[in-house]
Amino acid sequence: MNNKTKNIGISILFIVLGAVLYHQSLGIKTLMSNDVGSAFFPKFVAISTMLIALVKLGLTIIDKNVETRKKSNADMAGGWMTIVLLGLYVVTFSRLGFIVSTAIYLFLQILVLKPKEKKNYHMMGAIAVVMPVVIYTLFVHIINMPLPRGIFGF
Amino acid sequence: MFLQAAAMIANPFTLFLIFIGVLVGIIFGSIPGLSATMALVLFLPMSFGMDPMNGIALLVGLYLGGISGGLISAVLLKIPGTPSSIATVFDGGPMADNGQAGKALGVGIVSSFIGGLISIFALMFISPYLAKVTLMFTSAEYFAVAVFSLTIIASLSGKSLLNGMLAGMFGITLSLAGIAPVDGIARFTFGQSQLYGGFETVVILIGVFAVTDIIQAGFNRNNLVSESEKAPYNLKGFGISVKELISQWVNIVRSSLIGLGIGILPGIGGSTASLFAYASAKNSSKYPEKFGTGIIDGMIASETSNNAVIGGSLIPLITMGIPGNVATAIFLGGLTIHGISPGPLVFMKSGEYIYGIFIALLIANVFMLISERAGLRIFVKLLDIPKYILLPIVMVCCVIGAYYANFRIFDVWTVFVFGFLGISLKQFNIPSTPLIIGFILGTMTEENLRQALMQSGGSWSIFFTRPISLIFLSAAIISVILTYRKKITANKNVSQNVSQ
Repeated sequence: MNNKTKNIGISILFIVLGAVLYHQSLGIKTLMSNDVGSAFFPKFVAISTMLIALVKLGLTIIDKNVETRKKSNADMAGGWMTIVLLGLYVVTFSRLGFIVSTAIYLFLQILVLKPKEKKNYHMMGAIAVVMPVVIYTLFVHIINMPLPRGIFGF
Repeated sequence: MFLQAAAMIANPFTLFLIFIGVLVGIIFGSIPGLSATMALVLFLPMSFGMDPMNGIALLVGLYLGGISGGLISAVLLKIPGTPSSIATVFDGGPMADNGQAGKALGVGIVSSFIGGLISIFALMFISPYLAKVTLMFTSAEYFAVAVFSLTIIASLSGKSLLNGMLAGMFGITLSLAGIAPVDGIARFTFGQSQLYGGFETVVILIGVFAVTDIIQAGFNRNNLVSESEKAPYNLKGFGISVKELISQWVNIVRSSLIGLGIGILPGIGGSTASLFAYASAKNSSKYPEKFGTGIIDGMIASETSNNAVIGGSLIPLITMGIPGNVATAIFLGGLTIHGISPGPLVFMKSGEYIYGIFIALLIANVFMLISERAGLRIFVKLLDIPKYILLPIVMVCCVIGAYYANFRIFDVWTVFVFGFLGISLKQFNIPSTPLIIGFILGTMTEENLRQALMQSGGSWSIFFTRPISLIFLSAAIISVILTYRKKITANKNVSQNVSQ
């Protein structure tokens, strides 16, 4: 996707966001006679957002600069695996408890991010187990701030 | 009374408590998601059973350490440890990338010390006069300050002003969720009771900075090892010479005054001060294009101002009993428990304790300087940990920080969502800093707008007939025009260079 396409896309997105915000604000009632009401500021923000996005869209369309598309060096597999792992960590954080979910997350995340030539699985396993236990002990038993226990009770 | 206070402080146990408070505060401030406020909340009950001066000394150490600690993760991990250190990331991070992590931390430590010192002296000697300034600010003035602060977006938008404005508007949109100010209507909650309180600033910060960073590391995993090649550590002193420091005196004084000024106005906060000081330093610099590439000017502006907020925020607290932020509100609780009632008569009733606070602040500031300098080598050593190990551990700490915001999983989910949002916005060149600025200032802008209009019976002239409000609104317009002109000039120069 080149920059022109991105700019057009994001402009349309913000116009839609502004429109949705304005539409949602229509249902907000003004409770006090001497107050502009809770709908006033959201409507102002919505209109401003749409205006700025329209200006951006217009400027993008009339811009005649031709841009060559740069090849991306991004590792899509690494990026999406990280996103999935983070999502799974959040889902399991309270269900499995802090220690178990964190141990699984740490091990898998380090596995995803590490260079292929590094194969020190024992160290990764040690970090994945020791770190959550240490953090849990510090926060729960020393500082007295609870962390989720999950179905295993720890 | 001063000598009495000095006698109370100058005993080994009290000094030890200040030192421990500073150390613990630094640890809490340096871990993203934890904060000075959290440290104060945790240790407040512990202070109840202590002698009043000892309890207060501990709280002072925690507060000052917590604010100062934020610079460590801001420099080393490019994640602000506290909201007050947002602007420290802009140049501290690049300095660390350039192999100058030690220098960045050293400059930050010295700047924090100087900013803290200036604000403590202001607190000691001119607090009654500064307190009168606080009384001159009504809702109209606060609205004007908020609008002026929003113009920072123009300076920190990067290459595209329009993208920055869109990001700022989006940030303000996010701040609208929850119970509306003034009338208490639930807005944009979509039936979710967990949104009644709106989004937490810390949670959005963690999502937009930390989670975005780790996702980006995933997309960039092939270059993680080469990026983390060890730079030799050979820092002497604080990494900044006396000559360099003196050359920055205008930046230091201006940033201190900004921090002090914003600190004395309840409800604005250190994050606005540091962003404001950074933008001011950039706008008045001879080389604004270098800001964000790793120069000490940006570090000095941010850290001087956010520590100057400390003394500033204690001025309305001590002289009028009005806490300037959440941390000082907790501090007020601590003082009240120990029988000290801040207000106009506090010097008559509890003068020795107030002077004790001043002395404790000075000592805590020195302890902060010593302990952070002593720990510099260890902090920089953190960068030797491979990023593929460090980043996941940081992520875990961030998730803990998000959970501790309100002890609910909703905030953990929010961190993930905002992280995903942050990386998506980056793909479309939408900067995250204006988003944060818009979010932080959105509620303050709306609340004071509505209150001011209610006071004036709906007349908008209130903003132009009150002198302070008029000054800030005029400054806002001038600031935007000047920034826009600078961008046009900069773009023209770039086009000319390209055509040549």
